[in-house]
Amino acid sequence: MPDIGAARASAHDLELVAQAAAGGRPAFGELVRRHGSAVRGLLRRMGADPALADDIAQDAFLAAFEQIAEFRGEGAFQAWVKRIAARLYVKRWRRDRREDLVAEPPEDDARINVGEAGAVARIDLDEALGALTPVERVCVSMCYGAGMSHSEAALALNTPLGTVKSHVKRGMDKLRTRLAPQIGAGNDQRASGHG
Amino acid sequence: MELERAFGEAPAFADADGFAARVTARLDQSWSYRQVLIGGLGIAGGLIGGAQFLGSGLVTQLAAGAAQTNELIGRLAVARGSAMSAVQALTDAVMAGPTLDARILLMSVALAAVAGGLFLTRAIREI
Repeated sequence: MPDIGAARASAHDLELVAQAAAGGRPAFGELVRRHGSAVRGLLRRMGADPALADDIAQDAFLAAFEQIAEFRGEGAFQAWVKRIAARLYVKRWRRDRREDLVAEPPEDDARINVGEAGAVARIDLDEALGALTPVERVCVSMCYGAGMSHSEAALALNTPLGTVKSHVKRGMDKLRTRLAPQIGAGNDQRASGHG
Repeated sequence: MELERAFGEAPAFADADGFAARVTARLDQSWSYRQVLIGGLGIAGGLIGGAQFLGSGLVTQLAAGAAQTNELIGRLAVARGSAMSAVQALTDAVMAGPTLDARILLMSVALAAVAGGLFLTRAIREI
């Protein structure tokens, strides 16, 4: 008799989605096991503390299970759940912070210091995201972490498209500056490996 | 490009299985609540429907209707018995008296009468 658990573990996401759509909760559990970390990681990158990130990730997966019949398989399942999670977080974030998303940050707000960036030899993305303003962090994470278009992010944030674009651009510039040494080191390593 | 790739790399969490178990537990819990809710609503609906059924007096009306139907069927049976007796008596009388042609004519009339009676009986029952 074949091991159902092993078969489930080796099944493609789309097969598991089909089983979950038919009410198969164990199949959905396997999807959660596969993609839970990515969703939790996205939420933390958006600025949620670990406990809140886990709560929202759970809500996102429950919502995904409820709406799974709407998943057409046109994109990756993980990207679909990430978008649900990002929207849930933005909803909570807007409710709790009531921050004016339209407001431009002051010029001297840049918590990242280019001179300092050069001194930090090893820095990862999660740390670098901490140097962004909350709005920039959310916008960048939605567009690059959740794979949302600027328009989708603007819609979720209820913010003009141009504002979202400028937040993303500013945030990405800061990240590039901050991560430049690490990225350069990575490129050097690959170059030496190939040579 | 490196930066975009960094966003695509999912961090590994040591409690990934525990997280999945928590989500599954919540799913099961939600499913149980839903089942209890559906069951409760079904029972409540059944009780309300039953109360409405009993309160409407439909049972009494059906019983009265059944009694009337039985009475009508009884009357029809008696009427049919009487008609058959009359036909039998007429047949006996005819067989004892007139000529053969007259007997045939009378029997035809009697059969027509019986057929008419049966038709009437059926018509009354259908009504």
